[in-house]
Amino acid sequence: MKRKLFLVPSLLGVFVLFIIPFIIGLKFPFTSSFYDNTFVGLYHVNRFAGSEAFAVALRNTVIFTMLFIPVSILLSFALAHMVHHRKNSIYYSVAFVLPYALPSTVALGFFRDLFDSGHFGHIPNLLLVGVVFLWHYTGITYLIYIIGFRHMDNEVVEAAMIDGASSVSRIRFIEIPLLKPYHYFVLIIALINSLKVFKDTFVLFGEYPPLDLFMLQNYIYLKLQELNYPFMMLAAYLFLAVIIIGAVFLLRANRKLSEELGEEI
Amino acid sequence: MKAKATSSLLVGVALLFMLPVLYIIWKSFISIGDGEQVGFQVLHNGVSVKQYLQIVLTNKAYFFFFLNSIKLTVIIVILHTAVSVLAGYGLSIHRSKTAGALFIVYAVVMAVPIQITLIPNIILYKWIEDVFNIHMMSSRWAVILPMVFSTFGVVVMKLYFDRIPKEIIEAAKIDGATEWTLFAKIALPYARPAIGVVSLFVFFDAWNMLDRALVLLSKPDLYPLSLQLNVVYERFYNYFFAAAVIYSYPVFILVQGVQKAYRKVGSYE
Repeated sequence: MKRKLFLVPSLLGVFVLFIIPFIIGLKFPFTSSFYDNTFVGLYHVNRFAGSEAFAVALRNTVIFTMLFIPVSILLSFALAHMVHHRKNSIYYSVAFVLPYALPSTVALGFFRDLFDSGHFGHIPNLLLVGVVFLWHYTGITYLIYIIGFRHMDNEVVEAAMIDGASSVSRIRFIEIPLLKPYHYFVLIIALINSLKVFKDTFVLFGEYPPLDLFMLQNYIYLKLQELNYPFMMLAAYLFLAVIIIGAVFLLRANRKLSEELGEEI
Repeated sequence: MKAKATSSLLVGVALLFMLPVLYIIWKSFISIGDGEQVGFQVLHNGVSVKQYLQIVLTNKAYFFFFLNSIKLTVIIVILHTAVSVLAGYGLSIHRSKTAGALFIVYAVVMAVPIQITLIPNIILYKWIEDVFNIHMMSSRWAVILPMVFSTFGVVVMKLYFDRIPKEIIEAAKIDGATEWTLFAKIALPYARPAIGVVSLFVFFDAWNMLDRALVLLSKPDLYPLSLQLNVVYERFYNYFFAAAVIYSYPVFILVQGVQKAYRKVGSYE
């Protein structure tokens, strides 16, 4: 009995603050208002589906995640691969992680000045924010890979080096398969971070970013400010669906890749 | 030859990552006139520390918001770490199906982005306002509570507690250790590195609070400096870089601390 006491504070907090209100909120898209529980059928859903703002936000989010998550994962793997065996690896790690550790408003002072200078007017905003995203969040996924490399069985790697394996085949047949559990973790963290890009667009472009940067997070943010419960909840439904589908898709792709690599060994 | 090429490539990339940080530090020493918006320039009127002195000695608003950030961050870090250590331990010692399911719930809540977790918070606060007439959103606790009970720390602590060797626990039990001594004398000292990681990351998160404060706080005088710096950039550009560097100072200190700890760990290997 006493052992359950450890869990009580956290359980109370999590259920009262997040889970119970969310479950209660699930009905909002189908009732007439926050106070009035009259069932209105698909009234809100139809209005929502016709909303152009949401379609734009969904499209931009999908484009952004599909483009920049793979790039950030590749970049963090490449950096960790090059850094992990170095004596002074800590200096590199600090350089890569510092952008994440600094508050966004501080860190983005440079990019605000840079983009305001007008030299980048012809580059799509999505690409600019993508660069900011890579700079801001690569450090975290890099750090996970560094931990992975440190826990890797060095004997296997050394044996391969003695056998004269090229660095390409070392990456393909040893490092990528051995780091398998870390790939999943990196994938999830990269996904979470790609959604944090709201902070960056907010600092760079304010509450109402240009249309090509208007993402799901911005949409939900505006609905939160308006206290539009049916729409924010519908967006949340879809947001969760996108996250789940995205995660399943990426995990499956990852599994396929490692299966293929496994067969070749 | 090839190793050298990799080295210079790495140094180049590391400098690229550091460039914005170095720019901000450098620019904080550049003298800029009141109301001037000089944009992307590294040389302007010469070097000065006037803006630092003005912030430190005369700017009351700056310290007001700085203090807001400190209050929020200190409460959040202490409470989040305490709650997470207890719950992580609780999840780790229970091997039942319910505990397994709870862990999955916690992991899912952790992976949900902040904009979604703000929705139940708002629903709850509105309900409290209607029923008890308590205006949660005009109090700091509106942003503190969700961060205290975010599940990140619990997930990390649980995974770490799982690594305690079973033999140690069994031996202590045979010696007649109570539930509480097991926790306080064995698990807690064992988990010290994980406690450090959790409090460090929660610190970074709280010190960088932005959208959460924007949505959940109805009074701007409760805003943390991390959010208010945005206004500083727009209205007091000449102060911004010095203000930003002062605000980042705790981050630099902590990163240095981590560096030292890392070296210590490295020397054991």
